[in-house]
Amino acid sequence: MDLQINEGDRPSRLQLYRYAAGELEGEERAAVEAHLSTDDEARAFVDSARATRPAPLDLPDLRDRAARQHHAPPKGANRSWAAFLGALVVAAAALFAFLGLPGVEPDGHDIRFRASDGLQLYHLSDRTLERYDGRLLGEGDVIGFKVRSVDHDRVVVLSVDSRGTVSVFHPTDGEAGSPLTEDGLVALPGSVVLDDAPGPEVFVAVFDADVPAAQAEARRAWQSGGLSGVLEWATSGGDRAAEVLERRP
Amino acid sequence: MELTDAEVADLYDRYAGILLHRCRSILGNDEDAHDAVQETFARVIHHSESFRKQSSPLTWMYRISTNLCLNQVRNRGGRSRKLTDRHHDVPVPTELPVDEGGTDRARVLALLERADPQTREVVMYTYFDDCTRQETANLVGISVPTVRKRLDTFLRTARRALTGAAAVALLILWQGSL
Repeated sequence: MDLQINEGDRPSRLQLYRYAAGELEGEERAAVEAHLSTDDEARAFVDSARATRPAPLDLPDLRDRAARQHHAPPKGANRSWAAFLGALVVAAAALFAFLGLPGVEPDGHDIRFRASDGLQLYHLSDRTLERYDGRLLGEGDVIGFKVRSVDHDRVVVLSVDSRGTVSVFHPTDGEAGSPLTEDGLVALPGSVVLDDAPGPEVFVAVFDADVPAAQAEARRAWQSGGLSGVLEWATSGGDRAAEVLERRP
Repeated sequence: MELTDAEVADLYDRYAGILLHRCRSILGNDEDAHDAVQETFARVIHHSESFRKQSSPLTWMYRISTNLCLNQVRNRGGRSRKLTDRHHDVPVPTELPVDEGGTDRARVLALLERADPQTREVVMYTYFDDCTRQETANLVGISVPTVRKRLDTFLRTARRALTGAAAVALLILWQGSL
């Protein structure tokens, strides 16, 4: 790729992909084929796209993900009882919201701030980092981390926000967890400027793990039960710890 | 009407490999690319009604998957972008550093991260996907003059923020690292 803009003298990648998928017909198809006959790189690109094999179709996972797009139970036969329960849960959630109990998911799990010893959040206040106390924070606020290390060698610190986005903060680079050279409460270097992610956001320390494994576990936990699933995963093992950060709406 | 299992299976057979190829070229690894493909198909199911009206299913999925991938890239960038400061060295700097040397790539990433979502898409389709301005305009749903404006603004910002070495890094980034 270079910074020369395509003036229409060659097919774009999208056109090549559409050709590979069999979407092009007539003149469009002929034009791409004419180009491929003279451009080996484009030909190889199309061959490579056609040869790429995806993972086997996992329809239940797709349906589940699709259902979570609008936070409603998946459609299906004989769902009247489930629909009733769903309505009940939504009503309960609305009641909780009315009563001012933020962070309670419709499945009843409490995902408000809770103090943790293994992973401690700190927030910037008057140029010093103070222990996070559950107050609402938002975009531009600054936080830092301490972890309680007991015979652990490494740690990955990540978060999952209410959209299921997994962000890794430690290590700052590479796939191995950040090294822990001493036991006790250890301040991790650096601080974090919060973005506009929707809250609440669950921060998790995963000890003696590498980044891909920790990310994969967090994603699986999210897929199994949203933020409640993440919190359950993060607090159910001795090699993990979690704290919940509450976000301003 | 929601897509049936058979319809989803047909779409998956036809397009999942191509989307995986596309997502992998942006994200650089199979796991994240596979996740982006799954999420794209989930959105296809969720938006069954509007999806059925598309003349080119791939074009619709292409844009969805591109945005998912760009979000992933942004989140990865956040790892370095967010960790900008030591505990006791506040406040956090808000401007891009202008020093020469090894932070060029970070600065290029920061530029892309700071661009608004529409500009990121325009830059992506035009320079990474080699789309014509008209194709980019059609994909994003804006006019060709707006595409020109977005590109001009991005390049002006890049020229102001980047040193000569970083400008080269911009090219390298688009060529291989993104």
